[in-house]
Amino acid sequence: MHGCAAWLTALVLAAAQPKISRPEVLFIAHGSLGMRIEGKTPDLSLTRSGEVLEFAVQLATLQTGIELRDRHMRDEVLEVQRFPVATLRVTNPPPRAGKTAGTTRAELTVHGQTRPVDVSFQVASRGGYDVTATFRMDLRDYGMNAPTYLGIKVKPEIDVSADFHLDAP
Amino acid sequence: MRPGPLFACVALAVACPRPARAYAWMVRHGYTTCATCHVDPSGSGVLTPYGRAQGEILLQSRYSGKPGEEASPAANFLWNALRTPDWLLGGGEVRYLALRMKLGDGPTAGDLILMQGDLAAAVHAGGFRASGSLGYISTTGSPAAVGGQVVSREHWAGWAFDEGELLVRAGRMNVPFGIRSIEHTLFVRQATRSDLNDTQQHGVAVSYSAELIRGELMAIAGNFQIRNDANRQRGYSGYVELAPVTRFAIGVSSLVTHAAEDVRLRVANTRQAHGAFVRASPWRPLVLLGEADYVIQSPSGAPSQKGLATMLQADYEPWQGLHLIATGETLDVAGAGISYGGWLSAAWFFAPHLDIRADFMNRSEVIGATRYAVLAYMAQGHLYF
Repeated sequence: MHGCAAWLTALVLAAAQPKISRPEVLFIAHGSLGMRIEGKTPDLSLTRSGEVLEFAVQLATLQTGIELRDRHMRDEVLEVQRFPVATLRVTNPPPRAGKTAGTTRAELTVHGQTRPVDVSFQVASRGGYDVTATFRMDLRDYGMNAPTYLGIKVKPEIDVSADFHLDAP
Repeated sequence: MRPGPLFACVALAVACPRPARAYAWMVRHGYTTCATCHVDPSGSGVLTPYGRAQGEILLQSRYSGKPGEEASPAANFLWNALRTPDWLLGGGEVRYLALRMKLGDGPTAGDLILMQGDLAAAVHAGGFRASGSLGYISTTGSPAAVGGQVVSREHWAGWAFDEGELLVRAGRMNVPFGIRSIEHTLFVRQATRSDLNDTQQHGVAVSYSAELIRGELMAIAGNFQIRNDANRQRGYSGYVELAPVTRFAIGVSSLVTHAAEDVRLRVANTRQAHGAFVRASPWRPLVLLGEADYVIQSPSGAPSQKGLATMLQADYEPWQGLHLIATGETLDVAGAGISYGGWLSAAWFFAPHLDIRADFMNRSEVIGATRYAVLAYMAQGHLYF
């Protein structure tokens, strides 16, 4: 399952400055009575530290389409003043070619707490590489409470995905 | 039929009291289900506390320029003048209409109509749910009347399971079919007799509201607010709607009822309506609503009448609270020709609990065997509390 990540890692490591374009990070939260909350940001960055890839999202840039909800999310759930960035670290998978989809273990840091997550991904060669990654996180694992607002509850399980284009080295 | 009596019929059809609010275009904010904001899981009627807050946060124009403001206390019942216990939700509406209408070559006539003056309340205690309304209208003969000009559009009680996602209820309620919109005189609503105004029925219904799917199925026992049992329609009505992605939903509806003496045709009649509907917001300020229903009437001793009623509506909200609406519709049921119409409307939710609306309607309508041009200008004020 590490094949594609390894291939992607090797690709990025080969580049002096890994560059991504057209990024979009999306989360979907599920609420009671059929509510669905979708939040997005294009603010995704990628850095390399040795053989570790670190993706970072500036949480204050997440938008759900309703400003009040954004404020509640930033101030009461994510506490972005104290924890402005979420990071996903992918560490040194062994190089192996041939796969374009798979799952890899990564470390997600949100709200000042780090937990392992299994990330599913797909890579497609298209003038560089189009990458899609998804994982599910539980707010409670990171010391956050699932919000409630006027009787509507948001479930703690959040689906996260990231789409970006990795420029060819 | 001469245009004189016809005017009264058409005026009633166009301007009968408009019912409780239900805004299908809330799909632009990602709200594909109705149960978050309304006690009725299929929409309209008494608002939940969450719905009341959204009435100010999302529905109404905001003037402060401060993003992300909380709803003010004025969003509460009666502008927060009367606090009710958490289990009791209050509500009500007043809607007043100024109408000018021209039918065919006849003169333009006008009227002022109290369309709605309803008090409503709902109980939300544990799994128990109940809702009811009582109001006054300025017309008589409404099938929602409980006496004279006093109407009760809904009164039901039920039990909710799984935090309200599943609700079983019995009583008088809106017929679950198609898009639940406030334009109750649209051809699709008239042809299927599923508007929010006065076509509610008594029966038992089960509804389900989840993220990907919602629906409601109602066993219709008839409208027990009309005296003649033979006029009561019995059968079922229901819809299922899927929301595979945010801001898009597509559904199907089905209705079959039978009356020993149809209130309109005066003979035994079995009515069927089967259709599809869609709500989509490809761009947040724009919402497209569409519905097409195949309608069959099988009156005793006469050939079946089959045909199609359609509606397509675009709602553009250039500034929060201001809606510019264009609607096109067709009706071809009786085989006498296609009726078609267009509406241009503007609505402004300009203050807490208050909105105004203007409509221009132009229809070419086949009534009986004759085609009439119908022009209507409507202005209305609406207050909910």
